Amino acid sequence: MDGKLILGFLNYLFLALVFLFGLVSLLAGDQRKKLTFLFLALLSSGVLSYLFFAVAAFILPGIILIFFCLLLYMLIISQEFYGFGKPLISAERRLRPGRQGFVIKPSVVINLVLSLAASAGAGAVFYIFTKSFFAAPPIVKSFESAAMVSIINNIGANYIPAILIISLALFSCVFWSIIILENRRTKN
Amino acid sequence: MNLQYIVLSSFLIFLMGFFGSTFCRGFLSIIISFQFIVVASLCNFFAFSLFLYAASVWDKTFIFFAFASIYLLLFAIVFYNYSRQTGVYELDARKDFGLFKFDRSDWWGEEKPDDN
Repeated sequence: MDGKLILGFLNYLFLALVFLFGLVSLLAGDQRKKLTFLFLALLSSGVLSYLFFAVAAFILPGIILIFFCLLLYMLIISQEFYGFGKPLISAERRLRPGRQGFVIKPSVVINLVLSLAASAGAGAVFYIFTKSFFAAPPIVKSFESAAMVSIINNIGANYIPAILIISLALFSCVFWSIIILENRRTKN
Repeated sequence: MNLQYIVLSSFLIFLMGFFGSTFCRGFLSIIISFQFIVVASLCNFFAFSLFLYAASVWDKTFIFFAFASIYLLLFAIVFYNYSRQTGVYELDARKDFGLFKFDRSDWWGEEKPDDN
């Protein structure tokens, strides 16, 4: 088989795996299952980035990603163990034998319909406006990967992305802290 | 490999994240949806840099900083949720802002009622 064909097949396979694992982790009810499938989806996205010849660009942020996943896992474990943040279920409700039929709540239906409509609208707009670009994209002849040394040199030579990202991160942190302060004021 | 298929499938992942963040109510589901949006942007960046530009590292640098800042923000959100659940901010109401809290008992052992 042609090497290009195998690479293309692997790319599509891992994109499909990211989508499937992600869908399962969104739909799963149990929090631990959610986290397990989230980890599998992130692993698939890691393999996908390796297939895109971007090894060094994934390893560095991957370290932060691992710490984040660990923190999230610890939070969920403590939630499960100590019951933090879980609504208290009264004894009567727990002892109730089964559900009383299938009840459709209008608020849930409206929320679902609005979310689906917004997603479908965004998808349609994206498809319509990118159709002309994908008719004849200016694709390069040969694929090349960026080495770690060139990335470090680029960080040293080009400050614009760093300044942009750091200023955006600072803005979001300030925004977030303002939200927290507002919450504290109402609490006090 | 076709650029259009890759971009459309990564946009599908983005739409899944968008749908999850608007529909789901649970904290964990919303964080997972945010992560899908991040993953979709990563796929898009890689695909465009691979197919359209020969040996450009600008986008990789951007991905490095963007990933770091996004996950630091998610760290902040997770820590905020944890602190709200465990009541760390209750210290605020007691005018106690110290990171490390030392009582007399930490230095002199257990306090007795007749000490006060």
